[in-house]
Amino acid sequence: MQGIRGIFSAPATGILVRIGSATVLGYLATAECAVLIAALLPSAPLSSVLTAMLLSFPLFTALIMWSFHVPRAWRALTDLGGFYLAAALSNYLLLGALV
Amino acid sequence: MKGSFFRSMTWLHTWGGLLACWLLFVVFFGGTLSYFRYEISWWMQPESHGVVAEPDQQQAVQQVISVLQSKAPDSPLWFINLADERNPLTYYGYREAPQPGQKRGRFVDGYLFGDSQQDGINLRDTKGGDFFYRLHFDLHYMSAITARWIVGAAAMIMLVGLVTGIVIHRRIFADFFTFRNGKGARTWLDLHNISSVLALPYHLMITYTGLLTLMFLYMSAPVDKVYPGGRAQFFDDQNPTFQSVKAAGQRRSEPLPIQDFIQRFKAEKQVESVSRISINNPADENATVTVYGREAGQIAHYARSTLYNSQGDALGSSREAAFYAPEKTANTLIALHTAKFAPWPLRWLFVLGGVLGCIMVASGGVLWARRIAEKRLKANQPMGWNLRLVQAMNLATVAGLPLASLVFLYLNRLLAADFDGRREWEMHGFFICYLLVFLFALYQPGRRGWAFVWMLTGGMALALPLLNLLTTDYHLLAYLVNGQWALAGLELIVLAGGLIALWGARHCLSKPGIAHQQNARPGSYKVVTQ
Repeated sequence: MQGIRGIFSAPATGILVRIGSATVLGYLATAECAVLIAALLPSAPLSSVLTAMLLSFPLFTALIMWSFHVPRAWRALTDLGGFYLAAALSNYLLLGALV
Repeated sequence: MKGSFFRSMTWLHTWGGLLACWLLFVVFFGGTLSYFRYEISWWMQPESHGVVAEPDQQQAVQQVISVLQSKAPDSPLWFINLADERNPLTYYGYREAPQPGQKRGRFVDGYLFGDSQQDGINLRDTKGGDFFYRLHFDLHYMSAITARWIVGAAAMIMLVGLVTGIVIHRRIFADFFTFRNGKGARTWLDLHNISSVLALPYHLMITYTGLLTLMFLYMSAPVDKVYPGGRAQFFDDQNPTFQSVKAAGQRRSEPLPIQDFIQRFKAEKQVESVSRISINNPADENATVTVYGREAGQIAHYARSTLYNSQGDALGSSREAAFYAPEKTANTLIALHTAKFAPWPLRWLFVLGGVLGCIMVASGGVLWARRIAEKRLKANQPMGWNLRLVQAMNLATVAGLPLASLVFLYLNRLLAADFDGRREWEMHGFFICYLLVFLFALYQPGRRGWAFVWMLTGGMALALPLLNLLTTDYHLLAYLVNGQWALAGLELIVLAGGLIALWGARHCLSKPGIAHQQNARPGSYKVVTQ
């Protein structure tokens, strides 16, 4: 365990992991979450879809900041990855489809 | 990262900002000029500067239809943009019938002249103000979609930069009033803070709404996955005028009564005038006509519009009365970005916001370079190629883009009006100038380099009215006498910009900068700085 953490803590790797998490996982998590919001909102589809899209950009911003804020780089991976998986799983159960 | 929230956010702000600052400057610069998009276009077609009066709309429609009828009776699409306060000319376009092997025919366009409504005067071919408008999200020399993704990534970095900038800022109110001149990096930080804080609501608004204008590209998952029928169905449902009616293949016997459609449209939608008309298959039995209203005094960005069939029955109509709250929200937010609704005093406030945005981005880039330079100077390290690259990019972008824009305007007057490639070469000139300034900046990235480019910019800007006088039949005084404020305003703004550029050049030369100190021998820098 310490070895894996060590790799992730090396400065350059750490930064790459954070950038990767912020962009790739952050975007995927945002998209899944936006789909989930659109699906869960009780309003008319036209309305809920737009609401989800309007909310997605602030959410993406927060996720990017989170992946640079967490004290260890591997946390960016686990936190955003976990968030993505949770949203994706909910979507899979709700809609039967992954984004 | 690095121990604390404050430090990690500072890191993100600094490096994200550095990565995107030059592209963001291009976007802010082009976007700010887009507030004058139609005025720039008008100035760049001096053949139309004789136009003063706004024509009667009904008459203009009649004339443009007869022009289209004679030029392109069998076209699959006619398109008409009627003149308004900011566009003195009636614009028309049509698609030619496709040649064998072509999917779609060529699109041809032209203008009718305001008061005389005559056709056939050749306006010089130019991209005009649309160049800056397109540049600010489509860039150039690449596919529009690729460019939009790149600009979208930069916009996300901007949004993150704004939020992190706010959280790392400990004295927002005090910095409103703080400017310490002549203190190196500290001065640049103050300028960065003032320009950011002063127009912070504008910066947040313009960045967020910029992302929203392309949200169907950037964040399409909800509409693709959740909306029943997907994106195509969404657009059909949101705007029922987006319907295509197949041609019957039978020729119409009579021309379409477009004036009647317009009258009906004005009554039904309660608008005073019409902005656009598009006509599909005008010669066919199954022709359709879409009429768009002009929204005076309304912010939300949507066009009241109705699609008519050839009998004048409404096939679909915009649903402004039935908008959901999020639709109104999105429309209003996007309208705040495009500012089409803004009358001149308000438009100037938007311009001020855009200029402060440019200063914010530029001062951020310069601040980064300045800090590194001071740090390396203090540690007695060589300045290094990476710092030089950043300095050169700063110079080329911040001072080079205004110069390149002037080159763009100059080429508009200097290239022969009938030269085939003039439209393209105006734009090539812009980018060639940018590239040349960059190469020059690599060689001379310090204060002298800045002074030289500012001097060139100032000189060219001050000479622009003279160029216009020499190459056209019009001049600044005539514009002022005729009350053509758009044309006079453009030259007056350029003149003011020229004076600012010359002031900048003088400022750059007034004291030895860090570029001089870096040439000093190791160990002697303390002497040089004093």
